[in-house]
Amino acid sequence: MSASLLALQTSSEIARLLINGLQAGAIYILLAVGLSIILGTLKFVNFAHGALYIVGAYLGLIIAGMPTFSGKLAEWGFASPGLGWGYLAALVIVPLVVFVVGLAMERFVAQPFYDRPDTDQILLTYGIALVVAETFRVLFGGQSRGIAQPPWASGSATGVPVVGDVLAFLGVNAISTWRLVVILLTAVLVGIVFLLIEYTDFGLTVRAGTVDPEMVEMLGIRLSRPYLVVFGIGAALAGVAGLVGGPLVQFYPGYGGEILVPAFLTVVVGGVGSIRGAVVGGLAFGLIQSGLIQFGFSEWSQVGIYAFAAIVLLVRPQGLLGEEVAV
Amino acid sequence: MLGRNGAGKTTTLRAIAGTDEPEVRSGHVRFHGDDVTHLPTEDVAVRGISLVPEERRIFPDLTVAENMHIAEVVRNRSNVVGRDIEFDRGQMADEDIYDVFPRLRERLSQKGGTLSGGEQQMLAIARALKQNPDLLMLDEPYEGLAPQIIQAVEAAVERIREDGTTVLLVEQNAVAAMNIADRCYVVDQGQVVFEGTADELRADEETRDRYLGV
Repeated sequence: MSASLLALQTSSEIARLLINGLQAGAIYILLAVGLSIILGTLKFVNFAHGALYIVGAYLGLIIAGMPTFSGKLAEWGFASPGLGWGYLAALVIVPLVVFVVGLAMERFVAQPFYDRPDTDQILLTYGIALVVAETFRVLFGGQSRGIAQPPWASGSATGVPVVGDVLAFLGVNAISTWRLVVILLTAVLVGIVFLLIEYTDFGLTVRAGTVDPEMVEMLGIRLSRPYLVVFGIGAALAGVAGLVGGPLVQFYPGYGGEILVPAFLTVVVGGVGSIRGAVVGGLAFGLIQSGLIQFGFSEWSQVGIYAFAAIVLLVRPQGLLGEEVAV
Repeated sequence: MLGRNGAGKTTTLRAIAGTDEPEVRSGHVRFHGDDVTHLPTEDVAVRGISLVPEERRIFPDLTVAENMHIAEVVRNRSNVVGRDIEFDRGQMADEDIYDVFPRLRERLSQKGGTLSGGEQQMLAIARALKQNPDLLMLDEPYEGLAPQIIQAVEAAVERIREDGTTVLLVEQNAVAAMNIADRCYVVDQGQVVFEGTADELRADEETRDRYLGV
């Protein structure tokens, strides 16, 4: 085999690894950014964050397609509540609805528990996660679901103008357009949140409130409103994660609990409260997971994530980009 | 407000500012004729009371410019953190504040946490000035500062007073405080044990000796 062919194959492998890793990481990032800003700013441990993923996924399923359910809804004569408005409609509606769900969650669930110990917050939100999962199971049935890829994003990305040329140049020929859409969408959303936190008065207040809420109040600022918005944004991102993850990973009512663990680990590995940290943590997880799968160790892909998390936390307990915490 | 350590000076300032701790169990705080005793901290602040706490509490990860700007976001109703309040007090121009603390003007893009202790104190006072308060409360502003910096802060406090802002200064260094104070209050175990002008306090040897040790 000539050296140039080998180099081409290697670059193609690397490109495939990067794209798969970025896409796998994207879901973790969407979940972790929301979780991290809520945990970092409001000091609220939200074990129901995975439930918001599930709300986003099922809502997306109903808005975009025409699914048939087997649970109580079917008994009540609503076996097919789907609207069939298409994926783009879901992409607009899901974040808005889950944002509002997040606002309600902050007002009625989180706020009364801000001054309570972490254990109380965990018990409460874990309980809510269970209730949400069981409610969905009763209503929609327990079977696994997936959201159909929208027709405009299905198929191979090699046919997409410009992108296809770049992929051909790299020698990549088996990347789905959907993976690229997920990566792009995540980058745009995380970018918006980043700009919001870094460059607006709202973000300035949130960053200051994370460090010293009492001092912020002494400047006349009522923190309850920005806190509410932070919770809503975090929830909306989790909802979008459910929607964009829907075509990639099968979900079921209890899946929120399953995805919560790696999402929390992403936050801890990246550093609590750091958006950059959540992105770096999510990317690392995605790359490790995809790398292990690509090189024939798929059964080790989850173990790889946890091993990486353990090593990071041993070396940097505050996370990769977290601030050192005085103990 | 003078007194030994633990006399209740900081507690008094925090009670006026409406912070969670201490909880005011008896008595009232009246400001411009209104009872503000049990108002939340942020509502006390928008009425024109600013506290520069002993630990300065600037935001270390924010730049000097951001530390200043955050004191005015509450006035902008078009954003999510603005308050729907008519502020009868205008806003102090940045230039006027930087005239008082010229050093800050040179450090606008620097993170608050990288400033020296004296500069952090200046920033904390400047940030409070940005709120344009009617009452500026300073808790031990000279604590831990080099003599040269103390002079600069002292001069700034004097200038703020001359500009018409009421300054309530809490200080353990009685001599420094008496130099600039119009009225002095000596506090002991939460009680005011002396009230009078700086000259009267200077003349009252017994009070100085018993409560201030000077």
